[in-house]
Amino acid sequence: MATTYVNSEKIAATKQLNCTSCGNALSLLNPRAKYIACQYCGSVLDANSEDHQILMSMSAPEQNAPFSFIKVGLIADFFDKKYQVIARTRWKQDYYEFWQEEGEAGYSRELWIYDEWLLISEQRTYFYLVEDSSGYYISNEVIPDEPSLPGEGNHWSFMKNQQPQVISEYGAANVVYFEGESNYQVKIDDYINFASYKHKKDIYTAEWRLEGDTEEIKEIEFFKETLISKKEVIKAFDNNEELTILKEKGQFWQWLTYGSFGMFVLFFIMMIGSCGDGSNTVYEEQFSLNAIDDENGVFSKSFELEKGLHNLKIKGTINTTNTEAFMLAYFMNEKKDVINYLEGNFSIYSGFDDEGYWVETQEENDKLVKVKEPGTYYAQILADRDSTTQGVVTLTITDGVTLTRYYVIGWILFLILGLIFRGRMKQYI
Amino acid sequence: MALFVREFECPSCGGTIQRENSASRSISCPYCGQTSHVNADSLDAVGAQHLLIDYGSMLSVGMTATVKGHRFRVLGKMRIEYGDGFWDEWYIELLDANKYGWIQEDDGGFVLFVGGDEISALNYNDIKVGTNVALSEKYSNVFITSKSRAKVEGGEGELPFAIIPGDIADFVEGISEGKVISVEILGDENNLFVGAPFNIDELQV
Repeated sequence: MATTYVNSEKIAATKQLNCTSCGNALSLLNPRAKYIACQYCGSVLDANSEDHQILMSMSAPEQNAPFSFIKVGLIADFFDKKYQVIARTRWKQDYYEFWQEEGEAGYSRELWIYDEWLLISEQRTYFYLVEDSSGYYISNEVIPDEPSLPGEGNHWSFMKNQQPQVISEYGAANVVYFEGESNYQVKIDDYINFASYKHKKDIYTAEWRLEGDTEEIKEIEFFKETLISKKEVIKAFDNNEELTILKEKGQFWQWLTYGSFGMFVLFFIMMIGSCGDGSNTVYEEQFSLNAIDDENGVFSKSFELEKGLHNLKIKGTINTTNTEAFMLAYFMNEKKDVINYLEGNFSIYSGFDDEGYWVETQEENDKLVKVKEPGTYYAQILADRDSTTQGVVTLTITDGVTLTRYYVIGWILFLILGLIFRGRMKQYI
Repeated sequence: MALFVREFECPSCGGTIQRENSASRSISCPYCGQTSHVNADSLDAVGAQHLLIDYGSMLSVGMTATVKGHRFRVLGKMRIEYGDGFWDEWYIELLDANKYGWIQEDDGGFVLFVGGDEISALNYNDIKVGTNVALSEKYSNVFITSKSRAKVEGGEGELPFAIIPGDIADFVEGISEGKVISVEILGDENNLFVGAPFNIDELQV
């Protein structure tokens, strides 16, 4: 598409003027332009009168900022020719879109916004570049071989050698904003009706306007819209000084985006790596409740642990029905300094109800503990229970087992940051 | 063609005006913008003096160029104003075919119309855009794409019919068999033209 760019000079303006409302400098490239809408303040001026009378004021331009880097005044290389952007019309579509799913089909009502950029060549020829949040299309008027408007069915085409295609979209679009020059007065809420169908990779559209408030059609135009990639569009605009500046700004955000997504991937890998099935038991010991001293509890044997996360689990198996025991396990280093603890109420209750005999037990509790230094560790188990309560407490230590919440937080944080930075980056390039 | 060139005196400013096509019925003075109707040996001024603004174009009265294999010379121009803007109709003489035609220039789009047929009177109000209409025996199924009631702003050079700046004319546009159909209803005259769009790159000046 963009191959033989000639130079980075702007196309010579036919008229220079200052906006009557805000005083900013404006250029007219199309000698036929009768109106110009100031891209700085939104005032629509009479381009030909000496005093450039203000004809109307639109909403502030920042409320209708472009989707990307394209703006009025940029030069571009399309079809091996130099073009310059001279106008933008923002349209809001209220339309019906075809859907098909699991053997069912229909139309759903949708709202959509797109920009129509008007580009003029040095030979004063035009074409439209359509841009929305999903991409770009080049729109060209076509003379159909078999012109028609959609009928009652949902299939239609207006070009020879095309089988009738499903009408992919139909509805209306109205102008919500305009900037740049025009040889007719664009009015806010000017609207068109349209219907489109897809054929191969192209979109074929008929647009028609009505006469005033009547139902009578005033004019029909037919268009073929061809998809163009963002890469091709950027290449077409590559020779603009503005784009270089934007690219430099964009690169800052691009690096932040790449960095964030890199960290996101790293945290994801670390998160996956930290996952284990908990089956690797590092240490396990059983204690009878009878063996646990009321005051000092019982100490486990020493066990060696590597640095990292471990799961400390106590399982209290109570054999005396309708009793419970409160247990506390201290996790200690070699010097018997407590570095973590785990507690739990373990019980067994049973009885009869309408449905018969029932038993309810609570046997297990576990907790992640972080071992900062590899070495020798101990556990001390204390128990508070009736003297009649019989049972066994099992202390188990496994490695891995679960996700670290820090990895999960980091993973989510960098994903969010990456998406935010990517949004900022797309504002520039 | 130079044999048929005839000089007239502008009835308004006295300037010398050359008429190149003996069939031309209107001629505009390049000095004062006065439009005149051509009589046997004089010009009758009609309407006010009005020089058309030069909005810039690849075409100009008097130039020769080639498009779609036709070598042509531009004899005149008529500017039509309508609610949404204006367009220019360039009157051309095809140098290799002894025919006349038009180039319509509208918003950077060009359509070449070669020849033209006078057709029976059309009722402008009965024509509905978006329907198929019989405009002539040959063009009996034309899909109408637009109709407009517009003002003849003025002319430049010479034109084949008697225009009066400020006159209202009706225009009907359509498509038939992939060709552009244009009907101009000027006074009692109903002329149908068949054209094909072309890209400015196809114009060899």
